[in-house]
Amino acid sequence: MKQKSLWWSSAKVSFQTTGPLLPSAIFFGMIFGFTGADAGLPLFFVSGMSYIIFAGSAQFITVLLIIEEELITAIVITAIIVNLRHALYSAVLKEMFVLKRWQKFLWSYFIIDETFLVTNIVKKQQNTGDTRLYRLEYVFLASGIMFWTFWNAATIVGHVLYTFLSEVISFPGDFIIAASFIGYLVDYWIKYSEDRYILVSVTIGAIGLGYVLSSSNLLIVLMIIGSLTAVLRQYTKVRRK
Amino acid sequence: MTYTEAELFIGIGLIGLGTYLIRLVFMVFLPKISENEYIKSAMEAIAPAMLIALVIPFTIFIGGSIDLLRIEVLAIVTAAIFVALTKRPGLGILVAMVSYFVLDLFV
Repeated sequence: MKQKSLWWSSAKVSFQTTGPLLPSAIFFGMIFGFTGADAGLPLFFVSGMSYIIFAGSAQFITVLLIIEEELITAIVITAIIVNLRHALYSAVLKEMFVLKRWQKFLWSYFIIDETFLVTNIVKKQQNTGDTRLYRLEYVFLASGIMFWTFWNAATIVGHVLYTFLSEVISFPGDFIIAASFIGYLVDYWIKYSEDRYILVSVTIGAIGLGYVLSSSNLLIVLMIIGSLTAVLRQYTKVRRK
Repeated sequence: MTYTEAELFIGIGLIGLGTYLIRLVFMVFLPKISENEYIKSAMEAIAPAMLIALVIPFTIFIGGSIDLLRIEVLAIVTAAIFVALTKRPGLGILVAMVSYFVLDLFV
């Protein structure tokens, strides 16, 4: 099969899995644009964040910390730490893909939660006798392009809508962040019961340290608490063996 | 604190570079890490820790103290119950926001 037709058949497979996730990305992108406008940031800056950073949670936390007037260094460090999980995705995807060196530089840009999820879903289907013709590398790339396009367009639309809706709609930036992630938190709690100890330990840390730490410091400390808890548990498992 | 445009753009540039390098580093430069169980478990814990870090403090804390009797808390709890019952995490934000606006009208 020619590369071109393989690309299109892979893009079709990608769309079948990416499609249901796009409304969430569009909605989330509009909320991001709206939040950025609400924080007084100009369109070119908010839009620039979407194509330079292209990572929802890091972008949201950046805007939130700008609203809270944190130090630029704290904002940069927090946003990067929030995205550390992408390193793990990168490591996992590396084992799935066969790419040339230059391709790795391009493919890496599109590593986000959603594209990682789409690729893994298609990979699982592949393992269960899926006979469609596609390359996983192209499925991933097509998914990344779709999310990038809709995310950036939605950011602009959200920012523009603020001009018309800011008098009607207003809610605290903190709430938007919490609202954006509550669904995934509950979903994570239900699906990954083996990780509940991390959620519980971090919750205890959040309630205990929320009195004394600023939001950016709290985020960093909580992620460290989560990682240390997991390492400790891993150590206990190994010791038991 | 107010930022100059230059400061903001440098900040965004650094975040963009940092987040890109995080994505790139294992794909291009480093050997497989999935064989090291400690690193793997530490990194896997970041996502759930982040979810808690972005939901709990931003929902219940106001100005460094806990406040549970707020519309925001009720809206988040409503969304959590909805997602638990329907298993549709993508709708969590929608339910939370609709709940917020509805509660804001009546409370």
